[in-house]
Amino acid sequence: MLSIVLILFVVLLVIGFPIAMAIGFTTFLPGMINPAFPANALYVLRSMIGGVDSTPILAIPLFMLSGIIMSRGGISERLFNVFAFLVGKRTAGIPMAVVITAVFYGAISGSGPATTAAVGAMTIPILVSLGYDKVFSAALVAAAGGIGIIIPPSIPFIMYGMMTGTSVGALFTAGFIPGIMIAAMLMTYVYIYCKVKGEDKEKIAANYEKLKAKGFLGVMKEGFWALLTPVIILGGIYAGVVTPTEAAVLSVFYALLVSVFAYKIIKVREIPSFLDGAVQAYAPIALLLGFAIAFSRVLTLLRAPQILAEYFTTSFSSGIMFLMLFNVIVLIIGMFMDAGPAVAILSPMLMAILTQFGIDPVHFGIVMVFNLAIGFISPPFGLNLFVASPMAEVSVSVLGKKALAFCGVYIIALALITYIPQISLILGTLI
Amino acid sequence: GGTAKAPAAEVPAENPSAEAPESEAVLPADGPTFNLILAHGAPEQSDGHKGTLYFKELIEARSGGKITVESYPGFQLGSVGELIQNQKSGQIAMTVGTAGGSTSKALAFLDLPALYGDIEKATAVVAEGTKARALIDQEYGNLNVKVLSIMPITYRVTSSNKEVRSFEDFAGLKIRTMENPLHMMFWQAIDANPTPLAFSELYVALQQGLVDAQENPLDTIYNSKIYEQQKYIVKSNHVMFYNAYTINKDIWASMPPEYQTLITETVVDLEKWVRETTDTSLVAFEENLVNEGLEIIEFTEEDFAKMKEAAQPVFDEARALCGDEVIDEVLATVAQ
Amino acid sequence: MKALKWLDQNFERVMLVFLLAVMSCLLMYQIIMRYVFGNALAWAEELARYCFIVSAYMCIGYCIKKDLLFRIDVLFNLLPKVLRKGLDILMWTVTVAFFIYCTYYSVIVTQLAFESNTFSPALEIKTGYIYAFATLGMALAMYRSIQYLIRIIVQKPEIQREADVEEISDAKGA
Ligand code: NA
Ligand code: NA
Repeated sequence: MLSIVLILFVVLLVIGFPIAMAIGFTTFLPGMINPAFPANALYVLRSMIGGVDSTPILAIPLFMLSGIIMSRGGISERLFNVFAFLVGKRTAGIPMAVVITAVFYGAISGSGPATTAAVGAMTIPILVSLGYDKVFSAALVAAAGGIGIIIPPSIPFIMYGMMTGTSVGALFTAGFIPGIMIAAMLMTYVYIYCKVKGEDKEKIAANYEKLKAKGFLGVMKEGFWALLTPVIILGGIYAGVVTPTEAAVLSVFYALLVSVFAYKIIKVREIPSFLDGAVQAYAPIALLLGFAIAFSRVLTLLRAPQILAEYFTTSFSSGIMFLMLFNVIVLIIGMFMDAGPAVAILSPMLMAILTQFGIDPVHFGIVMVFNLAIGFISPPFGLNLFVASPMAEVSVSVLGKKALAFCGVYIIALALITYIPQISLILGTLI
Repeated sequence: GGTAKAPAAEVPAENPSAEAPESEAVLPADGPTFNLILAHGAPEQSDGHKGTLYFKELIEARSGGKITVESYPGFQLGSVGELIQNQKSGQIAMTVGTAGGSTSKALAFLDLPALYGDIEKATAVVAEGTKARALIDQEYGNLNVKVLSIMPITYRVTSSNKEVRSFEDFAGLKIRTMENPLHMMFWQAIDANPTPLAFSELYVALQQGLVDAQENPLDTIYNSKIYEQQKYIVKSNHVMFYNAYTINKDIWASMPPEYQTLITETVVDLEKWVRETTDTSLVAFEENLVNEGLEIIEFTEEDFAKMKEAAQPVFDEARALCGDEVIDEVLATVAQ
Repeated sequence: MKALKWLDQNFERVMLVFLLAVMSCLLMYQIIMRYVFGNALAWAEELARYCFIVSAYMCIGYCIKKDLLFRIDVLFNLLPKVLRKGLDILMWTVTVAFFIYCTYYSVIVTQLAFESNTFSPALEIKTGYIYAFATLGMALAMYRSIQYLIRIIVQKPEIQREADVEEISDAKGA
């Protein structure tokens, strides 16, 4: 049954079925074929409702909304003017600033797609206006969004900790260096990319001259309320005023207040159009989430995780071989679906194997979440790609191709993190 | 940290089958087979899940494989609400979980605060033949399930970053609670500041100081690592955690009587195992938490008395929800 | 008639915009009540979650209507135009059947939920109502997929799926 389900799923995807429907059909199939299978239509429909009944999920539409307000309300532009002023005319200065912004946002949000949404709405219009290719811009933002779940706080770390009994605090600590490392590697890549492909030096210079005319104080003064945005959001979380989910709504209202009253760029009657834009951006994701969660439940009932775990234990003699193959399999799973639920089910079952091979569960947690981050940007199914594509108005398949190079950067980083446990573990031993 | 830590006490985790009571297969060789899907929310490494595995081993051995059980931990097959719906229509045969007002409002008497002195009294409250048990069977019956076992496991306790030495220290305490109205009403009644939050957001909320405290059974505090963000365990013992094993009524009715007897007998052994395991584990959890640097604070009789007095509004509400008869019976049983 | 036509064009969209506004305001209200007035609410977040559940179901019809469905069309685009149209019609016929099936079972699930007489913890909303909205979402998805099927049957193959055309020109430009 499991093989029938998986084969049908792949066939439906390959012939061009809408992904949500392909997941939907395959999810209902086992219950239709075998009346004794517990996951019949009733079960699947309940799973689809239960699957989207979650508090952290609310952050996705809300960060989409705040991103749109920040972008149309002039906040992102002013924030970027500050960065643009600081990086000046250096090669790849602006794209690098995008990565730094993602690190910054990653420290606010625990979700990859939400980070992509927040950073993307803020930066994609600016990247495009400065002459960067819009497909490249969207791919960069999608890749940078992956940092959101590696830099703490991170929802997947919390889930992994709960499922496996690993210390969440230790996981958070362990995520810092890998997060900074992937940020540095992405910046190196965009530097090389811009060096090779060239940039629109004229536009960048013109922009810089315009900013220079305003002077440092002028730029800072204009950017004051914008610069305060991350301070309010981060401060809100670290001062214990809001949860990371509520931070999303805080950013919506803060952005609205600043754009309407401080910058006077938007009018209250324009608000419905922002909501409309946010809906258009998050709808395809919301649609997929329900189907994807029901699908992962069906896979659980088909004992897919156990079959996989059994295969691992019987086939491998060394820890590193196990980790390598684990990476390959999760990378493949991550191409086709949001690997989050699959990994949550898989991780506790793999704990026994970890002890057998002497792998530190904290190290394994980082490896797993890194895989997840790659799943977000690997085509054809990557949530970050889905978030970024409407923002740049490019199709997902075109964006996916461009994102492959960024996936490559992530895979190099993953290999390093897999082979060198110290990258993840050293900070924990120092504290 | 530079301080040497004592080695953590081992939480008992031996193979359940090692202590399984002897028994022979009693079912006819040509009898029907049943595969029971059992779903629950306890994490994989918890005693709650180990209990289901113990039940699985016993029943599979004793039935000679005629009855098999597949246990899915950690809400893998759905949240509490989904499990209720799916068990009602039979997609899921068995569930294990908290019994109380969240199952059905009429069972809110199981959430009564500051009530029991010891586990024996809490057990007596739900014993067969009581009005309380009849109400439990009836309410679960409405959800098309039969209660195989309902038993008190342990108290919910408070973990906190603020020092709570006595009852009065609860005043103003920002504490995360479940969305259970009776629980929230209790914390309001004792002047604390209850804040309902999703469990998935609790760890970060404690870390960032959105809330100072939370309340759960000790094994949840231990297994979900909440203690990493806490300084004190306050044994406020405010609410009893009742655990129920239930089975879909249609599936139950379709089983031959000897199958039903076998399951009922096995559940008795399971209850014994749960009691023993819980008692050993709780000692080990406390020891481990002390080793992790947490301070364990005991409440005095006086504190409990004050808590009970302040909680009166909750009792009034429970009367409205469950009826005077049941509440009076519960109070009488506890007073004995 | 005009109003009906407008509603046909925009029903899910209006619902989604409205629900997002409600979600935002509820959560902001919750923050203010908790932080400023020290009064934590249980119901605001619950209602926001339910708004999202309803939204997720409205999204199905919305995405079909606006052609926002993600698909892997590398192979699909290699096919001759006529074959593409044939495959598209086949796929959408299956999809229509799928949503009829889902709607039918959603009605049953909803009936069962009402019968179970269970309530949400904070607001004490009957679980059945949430399922009822999900059923409405499924019914709309069914309706939209029928509309989509009719559209692609009527359309000439050349002007099929504008998104594709844009995509190909995109790929050439890059
Ligand atoms: Na993060
Ligand atoms: Na992917």
